[in-house]
Amino acid sequence: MTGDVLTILAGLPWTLALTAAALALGVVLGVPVALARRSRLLPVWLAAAVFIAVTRSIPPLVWLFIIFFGLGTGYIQISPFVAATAAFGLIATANMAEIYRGGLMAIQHGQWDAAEVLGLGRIHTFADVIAPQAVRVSLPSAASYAIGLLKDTATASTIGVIELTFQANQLAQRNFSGLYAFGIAAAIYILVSLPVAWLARSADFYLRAKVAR
Amino acid sequence: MEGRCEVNEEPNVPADAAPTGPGTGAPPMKAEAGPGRPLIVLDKVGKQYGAHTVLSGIDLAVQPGAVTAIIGPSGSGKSTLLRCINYLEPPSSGTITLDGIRLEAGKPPARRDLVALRRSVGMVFQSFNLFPHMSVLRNVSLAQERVAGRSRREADERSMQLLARVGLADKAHQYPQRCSGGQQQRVAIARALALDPKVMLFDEPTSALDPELGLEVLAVMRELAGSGMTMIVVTHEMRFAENVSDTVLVMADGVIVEQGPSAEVMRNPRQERTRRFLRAVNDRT
Repeated sequence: MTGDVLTILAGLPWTLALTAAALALGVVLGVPVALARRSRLLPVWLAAAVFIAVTRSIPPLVWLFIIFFGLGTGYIQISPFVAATAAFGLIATANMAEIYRGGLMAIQHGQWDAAEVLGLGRIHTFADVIAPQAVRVSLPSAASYAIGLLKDTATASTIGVIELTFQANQLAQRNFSGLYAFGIAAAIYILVSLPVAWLARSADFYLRAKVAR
Repeated sequence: MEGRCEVNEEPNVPADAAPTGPGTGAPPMKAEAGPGRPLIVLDKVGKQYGAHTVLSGIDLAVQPGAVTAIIGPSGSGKSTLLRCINYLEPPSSGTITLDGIRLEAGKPPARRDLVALRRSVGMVFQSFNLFPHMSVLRNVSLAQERVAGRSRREADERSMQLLARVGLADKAHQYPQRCSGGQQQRVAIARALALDPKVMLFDEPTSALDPELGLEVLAVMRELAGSGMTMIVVTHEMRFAENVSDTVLVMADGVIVEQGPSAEVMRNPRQERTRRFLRAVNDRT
């Protein structure tokens, strides 16, 4: 039993690394996409809107196959992990952009007015007034998304990323014991997700007081 | 700095307490604003949203140091007029001249003029619009650092003076949510004063407050008026309009229906529209 758990746990670093890398890409690249989505320039707005819609319409598994089998075999050699990071990073970018957009829209219009009459200018208005509040509003949705992403990374096992589900699958095929192996994997997913959810909830409770809506 | 709104000259604002009561309506002692060069001139200012006309043909001249109250029914364009003066809503027609800065509707304003306009005009909103993620002190200091280029120390020092002036020095390190509505509005006044504006615009500053909290805001505004600040106040506080302001401007349906010395307009209105409005406000049972 302990040996089996350890075998599956060997996949946990990969699951966490893939989730963290994809989320980091999304957190960073989501900002320009969200801003582009609010742009008054039609081409910019349209490009962002199309990117978000298309990216989110395609299932993660299909994205994985497009990048790993489509791009990976034909043009460039990419490892399963890099392909999975690219796929999930792309999806996370679109989703984080939408989450940021929601956060920006939640901010009371008076905050923009106040910043404008104080003459803060675009950059200071955004950096000092709007962004800190938008981040606070976005945090709960971002945390839910992070937990969803953690679970979605299981599909990366199909292209050979040696993460949790991949390890559980290997074990299940050796022992002919699907329930046992995947049960252990499920328990690990729960144990990782719960603290994230709890952390997000308490952070939200703490930060919520400081946003004008 | 012409010492317009220097701190400590008027230590008579009660610390955090409402003023003495409804009887404190004596007009502040100050030099009559003479018919010199007006600080603000509006010439045929209009505002349209598509086919909907919100303001039309607004002419107005405000002398330095004058306190102007704008009253009138909801939807008459009072707030829009106020927001046009500092270009928060660019007007659709007419010209606005403020302290030598001339902005003509239809042309996009030069960035330099817009920055100068915003520096000259402070604004206080009905919903306070304090920054909720910053302490009271940071709220007052932020624009001083970002716009006026003061150091953190200079800005905080000035902020503390202003917070003392509005009776809230002890709240400097609280967050706005921990303050009452009246306190938040006084912080908002301090924040607007921090950039040393020549004009202060108030958009229904007491409408979101219960009557007692409104009093403490009115006391601060009365002190400000007494110190010689040029003020334009959109308000439903008829006693303030009558006793503190020099001029009352009555608006209805996007036009000024009557304007004149406060006591005259409030006691002997000439226009039927004004009479109807004042009856509705005063004769409530």
